[in-house]
Parts: sequence; structure tokens; C-alpha cells
Amino acid sequence: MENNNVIPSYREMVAGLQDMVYNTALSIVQNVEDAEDITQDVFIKLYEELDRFRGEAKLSTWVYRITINKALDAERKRKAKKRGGFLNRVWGTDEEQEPAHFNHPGIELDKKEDAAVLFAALSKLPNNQRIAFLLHKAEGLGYAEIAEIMKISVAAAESLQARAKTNLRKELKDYYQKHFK
Amino acid sequence: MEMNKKIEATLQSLDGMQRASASPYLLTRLQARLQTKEPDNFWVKAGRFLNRPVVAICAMFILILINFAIIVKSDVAVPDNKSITTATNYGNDLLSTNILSNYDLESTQP
Repeated sequence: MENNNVIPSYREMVAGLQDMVYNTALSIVQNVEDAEDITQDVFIKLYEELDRFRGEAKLSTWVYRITINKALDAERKRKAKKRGGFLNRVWGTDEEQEPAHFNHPGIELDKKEDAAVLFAALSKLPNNQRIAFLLHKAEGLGYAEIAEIMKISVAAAESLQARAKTNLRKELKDYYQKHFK
Repeated sequence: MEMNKKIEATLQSLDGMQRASASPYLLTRLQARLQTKEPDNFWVKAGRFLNRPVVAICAMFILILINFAIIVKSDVAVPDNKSITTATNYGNDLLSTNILSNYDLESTQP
């Protein structure tokens, strides 16, 4: 009953930001179930901490930061779980298998195969380069917005983007040398 | 040459991508989670407060300062001559009683 005053504005906020949060999380973790969990966690945190939002940055910038942090945390936990996977296999408790390629639902059909290879290469990049690249490509953000979200200068955001592309070219070259004849 | 084209095509494969849509049941799930969520008790709030990096770093800094202060104080402290004298006197008194063991104390029959 107490929530009645809060829910309408919260409902609008969820409706306005849900795809942004889900798409960002999905692009980072490359897993639908994890992205759904992260989206819920982000909005729960927003509900609890909205009164702490000081309005120094745009709401979307704040939400992007929360989403990125939650996604990277989830990824770290998944990797830690994977490292303990040997014992799980020995004891026969690990049923889950990592999908070979991730297919983002927003990619055009004729680009899906290339995009899956690109997402696999992206997962090998350092976090800051990957985030800068994904915010630009998956969310269509400009360097100024990326810089604000990542709390860096615009020049640094451009540099991260350039380094991401250089490293991706190297990764893709290695991949195609092995798989492309 | 062919490979370079393939690499460039792959790099551009995310161009024009659409946003993925969240589940249509997201709001319902959120409302369910918010309704079942219990309010945080004292210990959860205390734990959250102590987990803050600023608090943890300050606490660590204070501990280091206390340790440092104790070490410095114990280095400077002068040995207490009075207590050493007292201990020596007690030893001498014990030797001068001619009691060899606890057994002697108990078996002092006439």
C-alpha cells in the first residue's frame, strides 16, 4: 500500500529505460538469462536509491553506470564459477555448458554470423575498451556521452575506441587464420 | 586481401543493430520482487555501511595508527627498576625459607 505513491513514476521510469538497460547488459554478458537478472537488479537498485540521485549527471548516465557495474560483476562471478568448474565436473554437478556463439537479437540476419564472431572477439578485450566500443556500437552513444558514463575525458574515450578496434583486428585476424581458408 | 575485407566486414557487423527488447513481464517481476523483499534489519544496514570502501579504508588506517602508536610507546618505555627489585627480593625470600617443595609445606608435622 505504501508503494502506491511511488509506483506510477517508477513504472514510467522502467518503461522508458528497460530496453536501454537490457540491451547494454546483454551486449556485455552475452547471455539472455543473466541480462534479464541484471535488468531486474538494476531497477531494484534504482527503486532503493533513487532518493540518493543528486541530479549532477543525467538519469540515463547514472543508470548506464549501474548497469555496466552490475554486468561486469555478474561476468566476474561467472568466470570465478567457471574456474571452479573442474571440481564440479569431477563431482558431476556442472550441467551447464557455455554457448559457443552469442547471437544478439537486434542484428540484421545477413550480419548475424559475423556479429557472433565479433562478440566472441570482444569478450577478449580489456573491460574499458569493450565498454567504450559497445556503448558506441550497441547503444549508438557519442564520445561525449561515453566519456561522461565512464568518467573519462572525450579524448580518452576516443583513444579507447581506437585501441579496441586495433585489438579487435588482431583477434579477428587470428580467428580467421585458424577458421577461414 | 580477402581476409582484410572479411575483418572489416566483421567489425562493421554491429552497425545499424537494433536494441534488444526486455521481457514484457519485467515490471510484473519487479513488483513481485519489491513486495516480497523484507526491509533491511540493523545488521544488514551495518554490514552495508562497513562494506563502503571509505569506511573500510578509514578503519584500516585507524588500526595501523593504533598499532604504530603501541609500537612506538613500547620502544620508548623505560624498564621499571622498582618492579625488578621487588621480583629479586621475592626470589631471595623464597630461597631463605628452606622449603624445598610444596610437599614440605604440607608435611610439616611435629
